[in-house]
Amino acid sequence: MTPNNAAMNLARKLTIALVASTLLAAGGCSRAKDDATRAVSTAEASLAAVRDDAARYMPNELQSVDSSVTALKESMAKGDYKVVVANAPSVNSSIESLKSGVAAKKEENTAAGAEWNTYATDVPQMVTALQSRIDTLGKSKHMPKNLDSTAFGTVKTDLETLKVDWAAASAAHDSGNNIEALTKARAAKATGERLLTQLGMNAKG
Amino acid sequence: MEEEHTKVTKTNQFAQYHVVQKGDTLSKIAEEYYGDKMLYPQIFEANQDILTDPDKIRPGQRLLIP
Repeated sequence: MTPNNAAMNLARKLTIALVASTLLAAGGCSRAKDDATRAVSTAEASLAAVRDDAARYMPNELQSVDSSVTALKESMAKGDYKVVVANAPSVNSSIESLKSGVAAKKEENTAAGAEWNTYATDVPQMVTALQSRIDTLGKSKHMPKNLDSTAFGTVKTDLETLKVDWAAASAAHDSGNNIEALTKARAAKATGERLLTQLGMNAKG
Repeated sequence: MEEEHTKVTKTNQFAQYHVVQKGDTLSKIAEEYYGDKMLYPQIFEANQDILTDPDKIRPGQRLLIP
C-alpha cells in the first residue's frame, strides 16, 4: 500500500465513522423528541380528563399540577427533550395524586349531600321554634326563671347570626358545595341547640 | 305579619310541650315558661285544637308552648 492509498483509506474510514455517528446522533435525537412529545401528550390528556372536577374540588392542587405541565411544555419548546422525559414521571405522578384526591372529594361531597337533608329539616324548624319563643318572651314583662334580660338579648343576637349562617349553608348547598354546606349546617345546628337550652326549651313536659 | 311565619306548630320537632298537672292553669303555665302569667292567651291560641276555653284544662293534656 502506497502512502497515498493509506491516506485515502484513512480518510474514507473517518468519513464513514463521521456519517455513522451523525446518523446515530440524529436517530437518538429523534427518539428523544418522540418520547418527549409522547410524554407531554400523555400528561395533557391525563390532566384534561380530571380538569373540570379538579377545578371544583381541588383548585389549588390543580394550579400546582398545571404549572408542572406548563414547565414540561416549555422544556419541550426549548428542545430539552431529555429534561421532558426525565421530569414526566414526576408530573404524571402528581396528576395521579390529583385524580385520587378529586375522586375522594367527590365521594365526600356525595355523602355530605345525603347528610344535608337532615339539617335542611332540623335547622329551619329550630329557627322557627326559637323565633316563636323569642317573640313571646319579647312581650313578657318579666323573664322566666334561669333567664335574665342580658342573656335574652344575647340569644336574640345569636339567633340572627344563626339565620345568616344558615343562609350561607343553604347557598353553599345550592351551588353544589355539599361539604362546605354540611360544615356550616353542623355549626348552625349546634348554635340552635345551645339557644334552645338557654331558653329552657329542651325541657319537655 | 312576620309573627305569622314564625309560629311554631305541633309538627315542629323542636316545639316544647307541657303536660298539664293537677292544679295547673294556663296563667300558671305561662308564668313558668314566659315569666308572665298574662301571656296565657299565647298558649291557648296555640292549642285551639284541644282547648275550647282557657279556663278549662285537664290533667294529662299535652300543651304546645309556643
